[in-house]
Amino acid sequence: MIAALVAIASALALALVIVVVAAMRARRSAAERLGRVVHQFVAHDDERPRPAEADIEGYKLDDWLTYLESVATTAAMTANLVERDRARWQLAMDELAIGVVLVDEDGTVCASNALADEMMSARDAMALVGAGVRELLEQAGAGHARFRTVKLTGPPPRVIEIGAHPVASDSHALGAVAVIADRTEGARVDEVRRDFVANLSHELRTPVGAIALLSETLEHEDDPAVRARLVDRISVETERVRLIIDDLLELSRVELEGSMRQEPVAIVPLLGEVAHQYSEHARLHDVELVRPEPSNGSAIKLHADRGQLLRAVGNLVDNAIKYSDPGAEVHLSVLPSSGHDRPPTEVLADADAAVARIGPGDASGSSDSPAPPGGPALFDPEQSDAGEPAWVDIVVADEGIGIPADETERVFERFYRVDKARARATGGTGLGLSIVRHVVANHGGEVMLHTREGVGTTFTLRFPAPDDSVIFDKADT
Amino acid sequence: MTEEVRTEFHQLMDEVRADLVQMGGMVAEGISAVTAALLAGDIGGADQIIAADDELDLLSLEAEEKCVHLLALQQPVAVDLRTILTDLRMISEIERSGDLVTNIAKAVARLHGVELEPRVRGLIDRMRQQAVKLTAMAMDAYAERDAGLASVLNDMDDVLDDLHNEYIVSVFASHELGKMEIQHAVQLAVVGRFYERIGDHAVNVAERVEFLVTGELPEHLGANRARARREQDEM
Repeated sequence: MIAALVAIASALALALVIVVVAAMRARRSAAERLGRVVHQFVAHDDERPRPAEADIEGYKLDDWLTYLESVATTAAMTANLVERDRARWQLAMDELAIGVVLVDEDGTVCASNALADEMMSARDAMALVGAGVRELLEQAGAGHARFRTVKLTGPPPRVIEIGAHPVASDSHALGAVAVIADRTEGARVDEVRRDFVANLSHELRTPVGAIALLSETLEHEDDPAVRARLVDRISVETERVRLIIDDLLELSRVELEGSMRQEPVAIVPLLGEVAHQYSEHARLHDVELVRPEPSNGSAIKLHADRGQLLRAVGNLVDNAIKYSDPGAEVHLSVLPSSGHDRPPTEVLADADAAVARIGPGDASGSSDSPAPPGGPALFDPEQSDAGEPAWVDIVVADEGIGIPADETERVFERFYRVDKARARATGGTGLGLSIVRHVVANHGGEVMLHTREGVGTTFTLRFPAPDDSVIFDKADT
Repeated sequence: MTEEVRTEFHQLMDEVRADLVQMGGMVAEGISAVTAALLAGDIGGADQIIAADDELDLLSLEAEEKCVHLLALQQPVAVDLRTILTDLRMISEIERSGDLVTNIAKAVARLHGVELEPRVRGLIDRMRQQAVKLTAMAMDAYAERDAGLASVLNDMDDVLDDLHNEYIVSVFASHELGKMEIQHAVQLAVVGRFYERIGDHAVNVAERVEFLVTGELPEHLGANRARARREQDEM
């Protein structure tokens, strides 16, 4: 019995010894294996001290784990730095005014900036830019630099230039890069400049040439009736030259902001004055001028140059009358508004009317997308709890022929005419809207234009309303 | 299919998708360009637009060949098969819209010298705007596989239909006031019809997109999501 117990006990002890030895061996071999893995994978230029390969057997599991922990920490820090570096580059690229797309040697996009992403994801006519970029990148990937200009009709028209170049290091192809640049503004300015010179010489030469011819004829003419007619024609042409010179001088005066006289100007009486000034003109065209009731918002004032304002609003009213059919109405109104969110138009309620917006410091007259019209047209003091009005809008709305959508930006150019034949017949100089634009820009405001052919045109002159210069008295309404 | 073949397969499918988006862009630009030519009476511009339709035809043939290649050599199933079938249908819809642009361009010469009333001009411009908008939205719904966007297109097309009716009334009112010959009025009415048809083709495209995205058994949805994720990862 005891012998049996002793035998069992010694068997157990033996088993325990075997298990312990095996565990120690397993531990050592695990440590050894880990050591070899470390030597295999951790870069040899790693400067941290680590067990030499020859001594691998002498180290314990813990030694290796400590070493690996420090490697892992460094790797995480490096990855973080790389990620921040990448993010920094991406943010810098997103700030660029050009689109950039980088592809690898398989043609897969590996980097692009925000502008490029926007252009490449377009599904309208701008999709042609995306298609062009893809095609050019393919050719650049094959080692050929390529350029292309994509012209889109619009409106608004766009001119986009795409350039694609191979990216190579020591003649080893790494991929290709495409650069997308919007050249619309440059192309537009070139066109404006070309047209200005051509139009100016045309506008000045035509009457001067006519005067020269008429006076030559006059010299050899004896019939008093014919002579009288020729003299009449000469004075008509002279008047035209005088008008153009007057407008050109006015324009240069307006362009000199320093010559502005700032004074508080009550807007409603000013509109009344304009309406009075043009009442005869309106009667001749059988157009009704509707001005705001003198009692309605009569306290609205602007700090402005009265003469310039008269001229700007007068030019708009003049145009509105000229381009309206008999029986139509032209509305003059003024309304304070609390910001861009309140659209000032009343004639055009549809959200897709042709629009242009000419802002301050933007005398060349580009546009951006304005707030869609459709809100309440007339200022309602009951709803104006949005605080002090930020703007004062002077609105001239007609029910005339309207302006073609692709011309809305160009009408502000000097001497630009939508319909050359009709414009000359109406006797304008082609400078009226240029003057309007400059006057509004001088006052830090912007011109907004909503128009639809055959429905009407609404010009809104939006002036900033400094705290002390505009008083909207609720008691007045 | 092995991984490599699958990648190649999806690359080709992506190419077809890009081709289709490009074709949609060509149609959108064509609508704008032909409207500008029509309103300006620019016969030279109209001729260029007619010539540009060849490009669209070529691209649609190439895209079609790619689809046939995919069908014949890869024998796709489920969503891939449905995508290729949708692509094939879409190619003909877009190609047809391009033909309608060409038809408008051909009318420019026939309408040469006809002075359009501002109201008629305004309505043509609005039809242009709607036709471009519908085409671009249909292409967006397709490229993004956006069934929600696709489903609103039919309602939006009503705007173009209403404009078209208003336009026809204006054109014939213009004729009755003695401002336009009857043959020109008829020609203009036909032009209006072309704009309206472009809108219809955009609606057709949107319907195909809805089928592509939703026309399937519920249990396929999860698999498709996973597949879409995989495709995204590959990109």
